[in-house]
Amino acid sequence: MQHDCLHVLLADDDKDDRLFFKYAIEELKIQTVVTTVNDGVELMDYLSKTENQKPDLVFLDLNMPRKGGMECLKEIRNNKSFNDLSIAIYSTSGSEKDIEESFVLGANIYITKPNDFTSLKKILAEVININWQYHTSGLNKENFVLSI
Amino acid sequence: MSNVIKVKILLVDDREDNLLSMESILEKGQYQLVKASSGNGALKILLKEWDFTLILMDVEMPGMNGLETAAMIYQREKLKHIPIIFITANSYGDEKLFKGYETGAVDYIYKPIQPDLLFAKVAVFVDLYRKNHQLLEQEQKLKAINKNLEIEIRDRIASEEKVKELNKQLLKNIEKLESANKEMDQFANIASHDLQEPLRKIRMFNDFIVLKYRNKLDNEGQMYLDRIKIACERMQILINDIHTFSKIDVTKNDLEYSDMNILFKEVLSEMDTLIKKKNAKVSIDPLPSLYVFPSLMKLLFRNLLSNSLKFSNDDLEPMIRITAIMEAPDDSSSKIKVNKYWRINVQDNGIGFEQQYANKIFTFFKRLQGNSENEGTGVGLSICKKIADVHRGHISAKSVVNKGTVFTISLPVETSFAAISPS
Repeated sequence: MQHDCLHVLLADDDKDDRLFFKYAIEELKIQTVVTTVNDGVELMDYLSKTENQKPDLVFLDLNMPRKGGMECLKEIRNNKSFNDLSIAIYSTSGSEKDIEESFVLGANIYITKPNDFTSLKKILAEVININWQYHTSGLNKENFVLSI
Repeated sequence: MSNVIKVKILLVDDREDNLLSMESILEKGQYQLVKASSGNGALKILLKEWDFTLILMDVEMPGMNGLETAAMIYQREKLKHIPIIFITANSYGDEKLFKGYETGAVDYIYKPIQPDLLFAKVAVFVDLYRKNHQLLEQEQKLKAINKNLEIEIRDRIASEEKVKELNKQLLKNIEKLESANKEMDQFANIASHDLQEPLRKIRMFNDFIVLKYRNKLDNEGQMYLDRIKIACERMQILINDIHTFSKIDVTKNDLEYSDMNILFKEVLSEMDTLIKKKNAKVSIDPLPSLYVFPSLMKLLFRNLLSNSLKFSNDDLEPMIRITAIMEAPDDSSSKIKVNKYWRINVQDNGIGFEQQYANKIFTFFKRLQGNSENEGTGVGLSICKKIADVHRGHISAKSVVNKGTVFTISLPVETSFAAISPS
């Protein structure tokens, strides 16, 4: 039952952004379970607990207190048990440096937080509909940054 | 160099007639002759004057004889260099008495005096003296030159050190500027990011209200929501523009030999929707290929095109014409290599502006339109100017109200820093 719908996890310290995210996914009317955590420490805690349902896709904010997104990304990619976990960077920063670094560290896609709700819905729809198996195997920098 | 070196000869003899005969023999040499009638007399003269070239001295004199006088003379340091020719009647070995003295400085002439011999001997000493003098003069000159050289070298070293000091200062200043630039960059980055954040949320929540509660509002309320959205969009564009402006950084880009036709066409295809929406006609004449920063040049073209579309004439179909002309410097006589420029003109038939504002439009935040209906942020043309600047070129505008505007970008044909940048 649980495997029929996609499990999406968002790690973002910004309350408003978590709200936008949930509401946008709700609007998309896709069978999706959304879990949110407030920072990197909470994310790693969540992932390490076996009783928690493993997400299919993690949206990772970069700039978070306690533990930032890059650090989480590093830890996740260094842990073999998370091999099939897709990670979408979800940040307000569109800086080359962040894009480069997260690409090198093994993120699957880079999303700059959209400026309006319509774009947000569009972009989430696109990310959720990506065939991740395929996307991961064809990893390249051209389609790393997702823009609408 | 003074060719005439004064030659002064001291004649010492107790007999007046001998003195006279020596005088007459030496007359044609035009020497200055000083006479003394005794050893004492000679010493007296030598107390005051020591610039003699030569001393001719009789050996046999009453009182102090010639040899004794010579001994006295040579005790004085100042006189040691003066050669003495002894005039002697016998050859009993007087010459040996002066063996100890400087060789060559002492000579003998035997009585009776043969005038030619005396004259020739004196001439030899005089010649020697003159040559010595010349050498001395040259040596002094060399010394003076050396001293000058030393001073020059010292000066040069000092100025070199000054240059080094200045260079150091310059490097320090550059470092300071660089770090200030970096700080500015960071500031612009952070500022634009931090300003963007709350704005994004205002817009999101506004979108929420529109999506969820629009129907619960009357027309006026809905209009206010639209106004909020427009204001937010404007602010977002503005912040983005400022961010773009601050990011124009040559150091992060490479100059590339680029075909302007291709760059323009790329921009046109990116702006296709807007161009179609405005029903605009864009024509491009053949353009040159130049060493440019392609992404910056595209940004410049994009800004100019969107400027033309923005300020189009409501009654007319917007026509934008892009032409290029090579501006050849006319003074071919000048040997100085004058940089040639390509001029790219972007001409529109829009609302134009008064020519008096032609320079102001490139100033940051300068907008000629007072009303907020026009979409400009006042940064776009500043960006164009900055981009022209980083290419060592310039941008200008000519405009007639209601007829249109021509923007001219001048770019150097040979970019002086093309060689520096790895392409």
